[in-house]
Amino acid sequence: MNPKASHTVHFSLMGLLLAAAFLLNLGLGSASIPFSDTLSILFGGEGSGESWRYIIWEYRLPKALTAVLAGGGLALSGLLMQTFFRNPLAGPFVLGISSGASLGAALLILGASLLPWSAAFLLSDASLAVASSLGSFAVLAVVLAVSVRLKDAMALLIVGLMFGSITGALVTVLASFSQAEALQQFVFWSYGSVGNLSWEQLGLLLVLCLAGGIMALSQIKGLNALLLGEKYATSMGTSLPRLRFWVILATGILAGGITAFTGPIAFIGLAVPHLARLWLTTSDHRRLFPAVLIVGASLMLICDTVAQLPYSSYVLPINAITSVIGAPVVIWLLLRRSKMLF
Amino acid sequence: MALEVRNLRIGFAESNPPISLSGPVDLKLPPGTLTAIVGVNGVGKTTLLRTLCGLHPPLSGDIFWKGLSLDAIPGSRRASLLSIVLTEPPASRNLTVAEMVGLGRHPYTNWAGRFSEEDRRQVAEVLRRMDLETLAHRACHTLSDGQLQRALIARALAQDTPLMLLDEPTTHLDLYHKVKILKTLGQIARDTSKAVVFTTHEIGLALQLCDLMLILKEEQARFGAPCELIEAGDFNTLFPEDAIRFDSKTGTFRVRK
Repeated sequence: MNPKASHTVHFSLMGLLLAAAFLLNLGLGSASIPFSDTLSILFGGEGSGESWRYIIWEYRLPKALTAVLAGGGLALSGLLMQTFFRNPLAGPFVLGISSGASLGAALLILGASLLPWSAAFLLSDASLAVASSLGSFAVLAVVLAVSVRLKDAMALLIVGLMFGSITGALVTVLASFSQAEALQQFVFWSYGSVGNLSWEQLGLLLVLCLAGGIMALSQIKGLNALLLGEKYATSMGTSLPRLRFWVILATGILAGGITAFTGPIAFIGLAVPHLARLWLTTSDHRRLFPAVLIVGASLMLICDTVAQLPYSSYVLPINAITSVIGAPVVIWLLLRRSKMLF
Repeated sequence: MALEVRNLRIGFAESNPPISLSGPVDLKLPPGTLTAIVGVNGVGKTTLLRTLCGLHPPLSGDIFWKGLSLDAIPGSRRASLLSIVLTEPPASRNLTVAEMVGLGRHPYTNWAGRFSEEDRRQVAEVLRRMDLETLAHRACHTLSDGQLQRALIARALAQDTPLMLLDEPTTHLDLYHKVKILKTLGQIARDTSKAVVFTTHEIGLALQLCDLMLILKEEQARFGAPCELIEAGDFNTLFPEDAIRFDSKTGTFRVRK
């Protein structure tokens, strides 16, 4: 089979996977709704009850769409970071960008409770997204400054880990001064959840993901050149300062924006680019770019379906599920070291 | 002239105190020539090569390409004037040979890197010339040193530039492959009218295979055809004379017993 035809096959399979994961996610939840009713409600039918219609349209569909955006966006920002740092272990979470977003969110949620008069103004959705994005930008900027001095990949990962500890410490300090409700709000945010987004919030998330995605797309040629290293990329006409700027901005908006709405979600950004490379056996970003979006979205939908514990009234924190699935994937990739390429 | 260098000083201006390597370099490279840069370890061969590519700032002096100052040419245009082959392997080891060679077409493709018929034709042509057709779909990290070097040269060839700079293309290779690579470079220079420049420690091979040579020494740099340089006695002082001496009759270095 020639490469082009085999890619068509692979992408068709990925499309099927995404469609199946999406329908599965819509069809399963705490309320037991028959699959035929789910489909008919989705295509404008009435279904067998008004409450089912409400559950599908106002709860499950926004949740599934959030999972698609968050999974695709986090996987894309992981791909950007892995190529940018030329480090197969890089990802938004590992490099502390998500911890930065947590600090931003903590400062806002917990800080607002210290200044009660400002709470109503500060706690709007947009300001949570802004605070979270700012936090992730701050960390990204420091990691980048360190990466210019340290060419060593492991040192960068340690810097990311250190940021995790610093953020954790700062959040603890903030927490000891805040009120119980604010603390609870933050703790729930940190568990991660793709539910509870209104259609308006979903629209904002879509805008952020589109903005980040378009920025990343515009740098696709430079990212491919970077596969050879910075010197080769420069010699082929890639402007490194421009590439660096747009890649950082795209990652900050994607990782920061998504984390603001869903809380920190681990491992999707790290594991999905490797799964996509294994699947397509290529490092070409023109193919990996759509692949990580589709695989990331599918994996996120599957994790969310598991987190919903179908037919029960319990919901697990999605962060726990992505970690339980993602960490073994990373260990498996490390054990098969030859596959841990980028 | 493809490349002209006048009174170029190389080194590291930002280190404290500033480090100046080798004497001032003057050279003129006509199209269709193979040029070797030789000198002892640490004299600045690699730094000179990086300075010529524009990857490293010169201390002083001028580099001209067809009369245009190199630093007045923007990076995107420079990419279609000169290509490089470095000692470091590609950062991603997952790339196939064909993908890596294809990346050489970057200066000519659109924003997404889409190939035209011409790009495809050039890549196929380069793979054939470098005898890489059977390896085209192999990942770079599975290649032997000699094959990888050929693939790296193929990438630079695909960039289709009048000037090609290579940093120590013969290290890690056995004698046979060293000669093969250098002969191929000479062939490329003649067939495609490129000026091909490389740094090397293989002075004996360079003397036999190159059209021009640049000898970097701490006090001065000497440039010319190999036989001129031998006659002028420039190789006699290339190395400290306690261990080896140059035999100008045979054009080889002899161990001092």
